[in-house]
Amino acid sequence: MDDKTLLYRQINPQFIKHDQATTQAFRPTKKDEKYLSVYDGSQIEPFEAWEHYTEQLKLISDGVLAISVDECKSLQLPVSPKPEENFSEHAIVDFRGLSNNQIKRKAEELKTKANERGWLYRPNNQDTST
Amino acid sequence: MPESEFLKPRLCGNRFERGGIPLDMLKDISVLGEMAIEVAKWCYLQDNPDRHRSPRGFTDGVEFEITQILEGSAVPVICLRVSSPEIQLPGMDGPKIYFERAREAILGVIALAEKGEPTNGSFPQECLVYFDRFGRNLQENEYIEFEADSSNEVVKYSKEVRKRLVLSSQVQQITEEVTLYGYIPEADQDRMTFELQLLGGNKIPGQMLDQHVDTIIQAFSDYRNNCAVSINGIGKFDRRDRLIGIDSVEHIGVIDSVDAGMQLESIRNLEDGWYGIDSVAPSKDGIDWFTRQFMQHYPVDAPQPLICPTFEGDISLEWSHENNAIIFDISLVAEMGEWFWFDKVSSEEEEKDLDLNSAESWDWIIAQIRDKVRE
Repeated sequence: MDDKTLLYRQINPQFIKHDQATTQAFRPTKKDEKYLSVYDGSQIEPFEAWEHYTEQLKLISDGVLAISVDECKSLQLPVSPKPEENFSEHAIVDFRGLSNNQIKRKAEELKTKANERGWLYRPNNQDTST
Repeated sequence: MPESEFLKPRLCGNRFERGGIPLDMLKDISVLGEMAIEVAKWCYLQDNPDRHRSPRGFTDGVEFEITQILEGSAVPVICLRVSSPEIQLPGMDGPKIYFERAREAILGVIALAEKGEPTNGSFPQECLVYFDRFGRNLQENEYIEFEADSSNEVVKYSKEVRKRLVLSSQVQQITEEVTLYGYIPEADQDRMTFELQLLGGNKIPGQMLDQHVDTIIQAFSDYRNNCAVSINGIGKFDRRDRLIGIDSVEHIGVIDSVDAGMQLESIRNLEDGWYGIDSVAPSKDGIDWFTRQFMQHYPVDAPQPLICPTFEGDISLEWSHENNAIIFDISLVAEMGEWFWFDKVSSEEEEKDLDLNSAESWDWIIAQIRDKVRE
């Protein structure tokens, strides 16, 4: 993983509006203790990441967007690998130490950058969430 | 028979506080007259078990009319008037006494349902079906009060009481006023029917009216592009409360995929686990509460928010325009909102906690949106 590495984020259909992700897709949940889970793009392709997420982890994703390590660093969000059993490509973006409002600001910026980059994978070319 | 006061239902709820009666409620009130006539006939037959039908002329010239609307929420005064000469019936003074008994029977059966007690033999089973149409247009937190003749007891008729009465009849369906969202994968201009695919995937049938054909065909033609519609009308539900069809369509319109009502309905359909293990679906009651508040206060011409569920079972609204971003996290349990506006370029920002049951909070929100999210 280097600064140019893309980090793939799976997007739940509820977070897609007008074919774009909402900020909610980039806000870490309380359960994740302020870590945002992503796939390390230096180890896996977008389609494979989506397949792993939906078939192995049995979670719901309507597409794959990406942010780069560099973009995270420019927002003072550390990125690190966090391999798990049967999930060696797992990485995390670290929001710890930030207030809720700071998290919202940074999540909004990540969303904007990911949307500007565009979809890296969309099953069946879906274009709506609702 | 001279004109006489028959019933004075008091309509209670926000919609009636200005003293007016919405037109759709008049349809409900008119059912009282139909029901009273049938119950009066039943009362006559109870007294005359040797007869198979009420006498000829029993209801000739009988009319129920609203003669005035009193203040105190809204209280329509329903009078009974017989315009033709009073008929002479064998063994009775006239039909008036049976209409009075019908009124007592109607109020009596409502009182039983209100207490959760079973309907007894004092009301005809076959007339319970009238309650399907009486009160169908009542909204949440609305009810109709009647003063019972004999006891001065106040009888309260709510959506819940109505449902109990309808379900205690033999009917297999109950109808309710509904707003539905979905897509139209099928339309038949010959049979004048269409199918609405709900957001959860289920499909239900409906009848096309001439005035709705163009909209339905437009949505049907654009089905593959996810052209969505909203429908206001009467839905048919089975006894297990499952929507099984559209009884009638009052309004239908093509809507944007980020129509707030449709987004909220989509969230309302979620189940626990929608975002992985431990993720919680927002409660249906919570979504219904927020939908009511939003629809009541938020103008349709104001920029629509993007609405998402949260992992914890709440919702979050977003608006974005140029450098302005707003994230408004809603607690469905506390019925509060956490407003956060920020300028994406500068460090300017504002946060505010808002009570979403307060009209002042909504006025503030709308002023902020109008100022910061000009479209």
